[in-house]
Formats: sequence, C-alpha cells, structure tokens
Amino acid sequence: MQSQNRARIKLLVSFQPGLHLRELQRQVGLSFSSTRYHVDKLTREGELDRVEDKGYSRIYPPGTDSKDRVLLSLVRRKTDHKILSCFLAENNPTQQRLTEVTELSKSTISEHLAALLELGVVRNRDRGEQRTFELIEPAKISGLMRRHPVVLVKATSRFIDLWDF
Amino acid sequence: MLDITDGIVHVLLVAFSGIVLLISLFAYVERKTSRYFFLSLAFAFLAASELVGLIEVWFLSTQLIFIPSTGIHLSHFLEFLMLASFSLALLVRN
Repeated sequence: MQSQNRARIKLLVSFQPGLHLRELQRQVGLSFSSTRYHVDKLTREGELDRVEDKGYSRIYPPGTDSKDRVLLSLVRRKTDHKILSCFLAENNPTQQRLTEVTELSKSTISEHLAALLELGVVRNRDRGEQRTFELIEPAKISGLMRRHPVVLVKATSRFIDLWDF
Repeated sequence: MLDITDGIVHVLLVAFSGIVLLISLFAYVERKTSRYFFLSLAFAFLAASELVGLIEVWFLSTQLIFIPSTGIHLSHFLEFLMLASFSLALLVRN
C-alpha cells in the first residue's frame, strides 16, 4: 500500500512538476501528515526534489534543472502567471502597458518585474525614451503556461475543498 | 410565443450548469471517491433539467415535457434525482 502511494505521488509530480505539498495531498487523497511523510522519504531516497519557495514546499522530479524550477514555480503563482500571460499576448510591453492589461497596481508590477529581471526570465529593451521588456524564452514559457490552465485547476481545487469534510 | 429574455436566461442556465458539471467531473477524476461521484451525478441531473427547460422554452412554445404514462413533469423528476444525489453525496463517507 505504501509503495502504491509513493508510486502515485511520483507519477503526479512527474505530470505536474512544481506541485506544492497541499495540492499534492489533495490529489493523492491521503492525510497531510502521511503525504509529507511519503514526500520526505522519497526526497531522502533521491526520488523527488523538495524546494521551499515563498512559504510553499514545491516538489519536482529528481534532477529538474534549477532554471526550469524557477519557471515552473512562476507559472504556478497567480500574479506572475498574469504578468507572463501579458508578455505572451503583448509585443515587448512597457511597465505602464503591463499595469493596464493586468489591472495590477504599479507597485505590484514593479516588484514582480524586478524579480523577473533578476531571475533572468525577462530583459530590458531600451528603445529611445521608452523602456520595454521582453521574455528571454517565450516559447518555453508558453509551453509551460499551456500545461497549467490556472482557472480550471483552481476551480476544481476549490470545489474539492468545499466538499472535503 | 418565445420570450427572448426568458430564452436567453435558459441558455445561460444550461451554460453555467454545464461549467459546474465539468468542474465536478474534474474533481471526481482527481479524487475518485463516491462523494465526488454523487456530486457529479447531481450536477449532471441539474444540467439535464436545465436542458429540458431550454427545449421547452425554445422548441415547444413553453409546453411541458412529461414522462409518458406517469404524468410527472420531466424537469421536476430530474430535479428530484439531483436532490437525491446531493443527499447521497452528503451522507456517504469520503
């Protein structure tokens, strides 16, 4: 039974790299402590990689490239997902354009943009007076975004939480 | 005679019940427990009931559809099945 649960956990993580522990627990259908126990054991055995990321414990298949980990965790965060979607829809947007399209505050955009620049996900393109930004690997980000239809996943997750008693 | 506003409301009811049914099916696929099965079933009955309502309004000039030789209004029967499924979803162990 234990090996079955671990095989399921490994399978879920391989399909959805970057899953956080609570989400994995919901999907696997075990208690939170059991899920954490199995994940810890699999991590110790080198079958999974567990990374702490802004209060979330994210789980990846072993050997996931650190750059891919960054991108996977970004597309799973609501605000970054919104900003990256805007980058894919708009051609080299300015900071103001990002604010308009995402309807996020200027300070939020500024903070996230700085983080994206530091992580090497986007880069500056200075065109005269206008400072625009572009994705460094748009095809890769686009592929990752298609794998995570956030709205549907979240709606399903909330539906499960609502009836999980 | 077809009341356009009422017709649009019925189309929206079918669309929204379809979306909720889809979400409940995803939840069932994810959890595979009897509770989520009964919830999906309940939302399927809701979607079917709304579809019957839509057919009555758009194609039968608000004439009601009855189950033959019983005199039961089909839409009401589907709603009864929906409530039964919700009750089962609440009562079964997850």
